[in-house]
Amino acid sequence: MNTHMRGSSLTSVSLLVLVLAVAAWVGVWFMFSDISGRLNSQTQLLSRAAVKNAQQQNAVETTALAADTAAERASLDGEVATDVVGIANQIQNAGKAAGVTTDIGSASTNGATNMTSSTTELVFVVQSAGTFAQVWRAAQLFETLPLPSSVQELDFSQSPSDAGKSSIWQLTAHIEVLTSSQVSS
Amino acid sequence: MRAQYRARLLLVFSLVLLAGALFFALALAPAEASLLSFTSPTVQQNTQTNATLAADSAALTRAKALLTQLAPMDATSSLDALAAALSRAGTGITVDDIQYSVSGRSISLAGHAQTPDEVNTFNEALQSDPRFTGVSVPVSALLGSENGSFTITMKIAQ
Repeated sequence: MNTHMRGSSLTSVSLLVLVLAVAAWVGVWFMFSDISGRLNSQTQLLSRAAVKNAQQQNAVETTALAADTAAERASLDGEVATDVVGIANQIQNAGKAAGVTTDIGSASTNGATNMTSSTTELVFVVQSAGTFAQVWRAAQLFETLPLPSSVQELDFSQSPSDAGKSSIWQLTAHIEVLTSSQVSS
Repeated sequence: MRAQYRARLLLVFSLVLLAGALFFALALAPAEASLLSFTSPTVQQNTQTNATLAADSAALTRAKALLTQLAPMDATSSLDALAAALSRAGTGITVDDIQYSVSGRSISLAGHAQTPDEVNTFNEALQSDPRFTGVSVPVSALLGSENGSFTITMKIAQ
């Protein structure tokens, strides 16, 4: 009788502990789900904040760079701001400084306007005449014009001259100039 | 007696199950602690409007494009190579036409020579100069069958 009672209470205790254990596991599972969900949302929050901060940092750096380079960019814009007439005058002045007669035969656009920089490449065909030393000097000055320019081609040719006179040389130069002024084609 | 053993076995199994649950609960404790101590990240405040930022970006992009276009337009003289080529001409050589493609890095010299040997000497002098490559003269000019006229073409070495 005593043994039977002891066995019965042991079974009750075992069942009670089993119920407790199952309840504990259910609790642990809910705790795990809750922590996982919160960790996910925190990770997303951190990720969004990192992206936002990187964008803000880029914006700050861009603004600072723009502010720091404002003077240099204005100077750069000024470099290419010379219009066609101004460029032609500079070329004429270079020829005059070299002591040659200078004619600008033609000026044409080299390709389409660069949409990013809003500039056009103009090619001037310049003809000069004088002694070899003079046209050579003119070529040197055309190479160093105070403009964003580069000499593409130089053709020197000697013209027949009268006896006793020093020979006349013709220089044909193709000069490419970058300009941001409006050019009608 | 068998029921007693079964009850003991059930008790041991339940205790092991309970211990496992407690173990996992304790394992989750550090994660819970870190979640409780989590503070929201700070986000920098945007002081620039989108329009200002776009304008700054466009201005910087334009400056970069301008610099790219201006880079090849350096102030170095390209006449040095031409002067070097002309300096190789001997006293019996008269050059009366020079075509110089600065962008194509090529030179063409045309003129007259007193003798075919003068053309040959001029040609050899240019070929031995490392500043020039592909120096070429028509064979007829070297043989003197063009009454002293010649045209020498060459490329400027990189």
